[in-house]
Amino acid sequence: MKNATKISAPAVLVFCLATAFSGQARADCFDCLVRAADEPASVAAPSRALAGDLVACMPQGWVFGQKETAPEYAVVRICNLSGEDARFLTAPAKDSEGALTAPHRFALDLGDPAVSGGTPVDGQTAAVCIDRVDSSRKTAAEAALAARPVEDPSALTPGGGQ
Amino acid sequence: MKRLAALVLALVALLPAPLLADSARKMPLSYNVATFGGPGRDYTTLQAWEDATDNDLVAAGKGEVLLCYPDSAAYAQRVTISGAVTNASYFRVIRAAPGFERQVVLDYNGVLGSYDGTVLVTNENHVGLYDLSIRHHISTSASVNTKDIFIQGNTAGACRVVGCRLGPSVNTGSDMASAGQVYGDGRLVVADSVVAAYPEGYGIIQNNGQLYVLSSVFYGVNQTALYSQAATSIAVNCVLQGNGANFYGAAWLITTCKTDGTVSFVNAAAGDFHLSDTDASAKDHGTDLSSDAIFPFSDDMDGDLRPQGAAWDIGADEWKPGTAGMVTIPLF
Repeated sequence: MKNATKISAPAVLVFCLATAFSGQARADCFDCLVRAADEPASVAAPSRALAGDLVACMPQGWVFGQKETAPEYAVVRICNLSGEDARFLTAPAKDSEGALTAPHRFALDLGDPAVSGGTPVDGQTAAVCIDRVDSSRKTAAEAALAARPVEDPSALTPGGGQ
Repeated sequence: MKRLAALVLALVALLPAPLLADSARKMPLSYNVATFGGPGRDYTTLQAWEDATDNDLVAAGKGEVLLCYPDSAAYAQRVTISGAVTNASYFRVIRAAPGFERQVVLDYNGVLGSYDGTVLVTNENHVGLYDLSIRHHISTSASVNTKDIFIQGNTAGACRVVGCRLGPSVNTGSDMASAGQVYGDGRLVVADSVVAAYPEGYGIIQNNGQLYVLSSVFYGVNQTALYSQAATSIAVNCVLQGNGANFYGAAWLITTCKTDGTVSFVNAAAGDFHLSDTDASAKDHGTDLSSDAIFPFSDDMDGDLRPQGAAWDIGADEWKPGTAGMVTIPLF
């Protein structure tokens, strides 16, 4: 530590503030709660969650609850993703009229070694997210981009954007 | 002693039922309870509880209640509530655990689409949200219409927001961040709640369906506090103060609401919307809703019985002398 470059406290503060307010995405890891099994068939579509569905993405190291465990759930770490992108991964699937078509738009392919191998999933390169809208495979980053709401100036009236 | 006990029991049985007032926080006749919060609770994510309770509650004869504790690390959460089979007796409730009213903050940090909210209820009836703080905040510029609560398609039974604090909305760059929207034949009752500090958006918007707003406060809403585009909406005992506009739409039925800026709160700037000791505008000027045809109730946002004085007070709080204020949540 003696040879470590000295950085003044104000410089650290400036760096932190600049990082926080730069608006740039910060790549990180997230522990994502994934359904390990389908919900019972008695749950009617379109509300029935299926195996692989991404239920929640929380910061790395998140301690999940006592009922957020196997056999219903698994935790998969997805890295190289911004916090905002991680939140979009758990969006519901809807049609153009806003009607729910699936409780979770994205699911992980639990049979893919990149998911089941026990190592973190690279959010930028591993195309392991299944989009329930069109059944396509996407990386987590691509999935987040697809789920991002489209900017719509007509939404700026109470009845607009609908 | 046995004879005395039997006599007391017989007398109690003969007493009229209205001795027990209706709470605005309607609960299922019978229900399972799970907990939400930090490590050690059943759930740390709202959506996992929602998924786990997507059942036929009517057939099971059990509602589902999530008791929320404010011990979770702060992080963005949202939830889509949809899919359980419910009726007026068996339904789902998310509520603060006793003693933690409005201390559990459901806050989504991100851009939501037009049909979405921090809490989205779609095609499910009778959902109850009690004593929570619900908000969202946005830090990126986006022309999207985003809300704390979005209700749609629950045509057979209104969702109920009771004792809740909606807002403050923290949005930078987005032009319309609002407290709530009722859409697609949705039904919503808002009671004993505070909607405050929306520097860009609206309070609650009704495009169609029904909106029933009782004993609530709308304060500091930049645009219109209560906006109704379609069917008749009802507002009773509400305070609307410091808003860009209070009502929009010709179909409002308004009863004993205060819109003249004269209601005095303990400390509105700090988020305390209890009536001040000196208030003379709202106290004892409200309408008795204990026998209301649609949503009868007799308590306020703190669970205190109404009335405390000669008549009901207007707003979310029923003033009691010498009581401590509700938990104050800083506006920003």
